Amino acid sequence: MIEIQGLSLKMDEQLLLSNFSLRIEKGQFWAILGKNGAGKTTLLHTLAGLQAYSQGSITIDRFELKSLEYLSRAQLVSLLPQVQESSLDCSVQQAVSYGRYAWHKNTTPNLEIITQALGDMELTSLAKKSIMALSGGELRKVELATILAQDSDVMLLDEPLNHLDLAFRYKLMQILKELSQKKAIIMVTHDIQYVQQYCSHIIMFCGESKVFSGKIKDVLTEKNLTKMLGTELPKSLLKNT
Amino acid sequence: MKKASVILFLLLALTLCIIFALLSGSQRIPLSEILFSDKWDDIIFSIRLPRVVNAISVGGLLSLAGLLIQNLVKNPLADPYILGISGASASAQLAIIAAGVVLPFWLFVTIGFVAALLSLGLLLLLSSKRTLNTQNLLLSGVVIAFAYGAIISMILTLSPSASTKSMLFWLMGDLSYSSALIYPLVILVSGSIWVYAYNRELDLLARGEFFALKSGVNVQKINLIILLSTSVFTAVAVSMSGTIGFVGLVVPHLARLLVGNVHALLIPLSALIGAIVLLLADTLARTVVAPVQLPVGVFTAFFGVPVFIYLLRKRT
Repeated sequence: MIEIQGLSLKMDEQLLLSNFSLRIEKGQFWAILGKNGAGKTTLLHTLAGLQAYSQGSITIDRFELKSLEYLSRAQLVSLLPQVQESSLDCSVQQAVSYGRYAWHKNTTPNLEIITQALGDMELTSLAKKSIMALSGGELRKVELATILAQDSDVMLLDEPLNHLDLAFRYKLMQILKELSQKKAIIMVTHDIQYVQQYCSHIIMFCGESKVFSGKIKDVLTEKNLTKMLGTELPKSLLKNT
Repeated sequence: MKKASVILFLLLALTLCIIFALLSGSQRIPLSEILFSDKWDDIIFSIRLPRVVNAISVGGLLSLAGLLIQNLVKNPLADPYILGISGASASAQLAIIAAGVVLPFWLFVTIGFVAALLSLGLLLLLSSKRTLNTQNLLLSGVVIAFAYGAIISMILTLSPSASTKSMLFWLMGDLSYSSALIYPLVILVSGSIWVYAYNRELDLLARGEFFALKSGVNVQKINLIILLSTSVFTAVAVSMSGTIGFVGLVVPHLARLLVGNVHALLIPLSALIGAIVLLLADTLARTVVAPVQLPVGVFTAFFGVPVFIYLLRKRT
């Protein structure tokens, strides 16, 4: 599905990734782990086609990412940003229906998918409410529902668990795991317990543009974790499996 | 269906306002007399009708420009004058009035229009490097608007007192110069249709620029289209009638209250409500203390301020 070859990423002269290569297939659920400022979000935005990269190539579904049209890109890839920028008012249902733009630029959007997304994110009773009247967690659910409605083969999620209550975090991870059977999902997170429980693969940013990637059981080790955090933690974060 | 009926209702209201405006004035004309005789045709067709057409065009254009600029800068307090386009037009036209030069109306309008577009060019040059950055655009626009404010004050101070009154009229917004110019109406209608083609993109842009981009909108292109459209609409309106306040700020909010953030409806609604509001305000401006005529801007501010404060309080 996604083929990254020899990718190098820079942010203000600081090298975040150098000569990085990776294959991501449908049916895989990837986690991206790393310290603050390591380049997790930059990688995610690059994969979403929203950030320029100078070296290397990224193809999605055999299409070169750089050459994709706006609409076809949004049909292939969706992105949940870490924070939603300032917005003018609209209703919850409208906000979610915007996720269908790439598929229905000039036709009425498919209501079934929107209703389903609202239901999955427990927003059905809020559908007519203004987004200005929502709590932080509810707003996050609206953004998630928008991504579900976009229904692209690749889903990129930047800290999707932020602002959500504990019960809903489990529900969301369950939904994502089911979705990942037929999609490629990549999420940035700091919650190792969810990664261990639900994800299949991992990318770990270990500083100085050193990145490990692969299956959870091979890469998410005590040794790599210590390297990533740069410090020994008093109690092991990893559950023994 | 409910939403289609809102538009039908507004069209009906506009028609009634047009009839009301044609009949009122320092010379009141009874409705029964225009149907059966042509003795009032002169007043109606050569004096009042051009003014009615101008009020409709300018009101519609200012409201559309306001709707677009509020979306572009994601700020509900923005109005069409925020980018300084109107200041350029007013500076040029006030200088002409101050110099005591009497130009034909079409030339006076054209000079204002060209000044506005030149100012837009300057704004783009100052605020953008290859790509359009709306925050830079807003800041540069506000600064440029300040500079024009200074120029206008200077012209007012230095000009002979004989022309000061008509200059103040122009600054408050004034439709009494109207002569039969049909082109603002043409621009209003064709401009609405042109902007309507992008109504879905405008919906998404209101949710945020980054949001629209990631959802598949060519944001750079649409932002440029919005900026150019709003500039042309504003330039046409202010060069015709001076800087009429509050219509471009308040009317888009009224429309949003009625139908929410749906630009397929907001575009026709803003244009229609804007036309009705300015037509009513202008009719009042020339009848309330007739035969003395007040600047129409006095009336739009008179009604605009309380409506806006009400909306603001409702929001918070």
